[in-house]
Amino acid sequence: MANSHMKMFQSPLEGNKFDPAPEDMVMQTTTAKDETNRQSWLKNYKPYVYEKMQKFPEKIARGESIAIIQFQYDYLCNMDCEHCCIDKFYVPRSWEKASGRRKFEIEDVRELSRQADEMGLANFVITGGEPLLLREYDELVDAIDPEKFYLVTDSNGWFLDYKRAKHLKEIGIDKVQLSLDGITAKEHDTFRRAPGAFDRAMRAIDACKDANLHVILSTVVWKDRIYTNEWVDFLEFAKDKEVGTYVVYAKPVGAYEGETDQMMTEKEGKILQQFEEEYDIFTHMTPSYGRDIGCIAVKRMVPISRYGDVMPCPYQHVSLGNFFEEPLADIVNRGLNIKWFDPKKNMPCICGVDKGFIKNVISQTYGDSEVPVRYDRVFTSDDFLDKNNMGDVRTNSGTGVQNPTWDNAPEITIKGFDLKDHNFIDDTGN
Amino acid sequence: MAKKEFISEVTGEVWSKEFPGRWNKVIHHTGVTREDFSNATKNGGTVTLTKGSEVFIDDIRGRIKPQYRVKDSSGKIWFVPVGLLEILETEESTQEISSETHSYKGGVRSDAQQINAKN
Repeated sequence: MANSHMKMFQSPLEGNKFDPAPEDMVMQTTTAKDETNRQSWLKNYKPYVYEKMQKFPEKIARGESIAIIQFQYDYLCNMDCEHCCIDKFYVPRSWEKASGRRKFEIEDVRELSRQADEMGLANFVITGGEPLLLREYDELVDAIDPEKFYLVTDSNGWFLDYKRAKHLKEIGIDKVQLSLDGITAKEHDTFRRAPGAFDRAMRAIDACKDANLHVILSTVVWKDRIYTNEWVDFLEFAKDKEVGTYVVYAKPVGAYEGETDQMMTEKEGKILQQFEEEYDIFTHMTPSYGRDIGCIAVKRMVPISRYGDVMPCPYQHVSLGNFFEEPLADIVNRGLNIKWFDPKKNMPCICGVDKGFIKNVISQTYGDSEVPVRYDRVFTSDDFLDKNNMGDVRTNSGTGVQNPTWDNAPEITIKGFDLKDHNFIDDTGN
Repeated sequence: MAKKEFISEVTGEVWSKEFPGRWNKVIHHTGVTREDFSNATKNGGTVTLTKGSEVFIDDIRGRIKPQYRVKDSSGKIWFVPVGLLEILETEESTQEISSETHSYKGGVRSDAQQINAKN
């Protein structure tokens, strides 16, 4: 273990009311390196979730999704972040009601939880917006069901003092993912356009640690940032605070629509991997539980919008189908049937580095497009593995164009398992 | 009508936030563009809604950069920043909002006005 937090990994991570671990046993860091400890902690603390996760290698080998549900229950937020990628999804409350859009109600959340559990999924991330703004937050957590899922909440920390952190832990939240854009008030508050945001974030880190609630930082990295002293200072800051950092690749979407100049390349990806050796950081591409599946879109992540749209990744504003119209399993199966999300291929971060994907798919969500754009508007029969199960995509809608990224991607390997062909047929109804 | 300002202590840049009008004072109303508004097309070109264009407002989205969805005289749909439009009428619209005028498939329109939802 290269980083200085080794001693922290010696003890199991203390959880919440479901956790039998003694109060003084806390593990605040999260890296690829501490997974063994994380798993043993989970076994004691959420055995049902642990059992589901134990089946993940088999599921991957069968070509099934082990997705984290990134649940965009509400887009309300108290900040006006410069880099917001979800702003187009927000609809003012009174107009939302008047226009008659269907949105998630608590009963719908229970149904989502039931279906996700039935699929053997084990993780939820509550995101927004700022989730801790929600009056019905506790009800939402209860509806997801903390006994059935490992629960993470995103937050900007504004409403997260010690009392709230303690409460979050009590109701079953396992981890807080706290956004931090810089290590000075000037930098962070500028990104957030919110004076005081940095001070509140600092208070939130301490509050979570004091309440023995696992907290990690989340920060966006773009090409130039990785070469700056500010980046190293950020990592040192996190190290001093003894918190892990989830590093998000900048994507050419949202506020940075079309801006591909600052996208990470393979070179920066490799530099970041070197930082992973020295610091307690990880990305969406970091092998999870020792399994390197490459791009996690659909395979390990499915965002679901407030309006029921199921998307491949938080940065691909494409709807694979709507939860209010068909079972989640059918929608996820459809996604896995698309070459870009092929369950057998170890693909690169396609919306972060693949300019062909950005040009042909992501750019369709720009400008005057209503988002999320439906899958049949951006994918053709060329994109599908099993041509008999393409949903609303017309047979022969493609032009025979090749997909070199998919052609060249290596197969995923799972130790002790042979990959099997996935059955993409929708067999869960509808 | 800028209502909120933020001045960056890093760059000194002033950022102003616009707010949409109350929905019943803008939806199904006509607005006029205060300046040219351009958008990139999917083919790498540019299309421009010229200053003084009359448009019909039929939806709202966004909080940080709120936009009205509008239809120009040729029927083309645009999403324009709310501050770019001067709303011509100030009274509430008498046209009812119904599934005839507004229906959605997930987050996007699926009524006759839709641009990318599949019927």
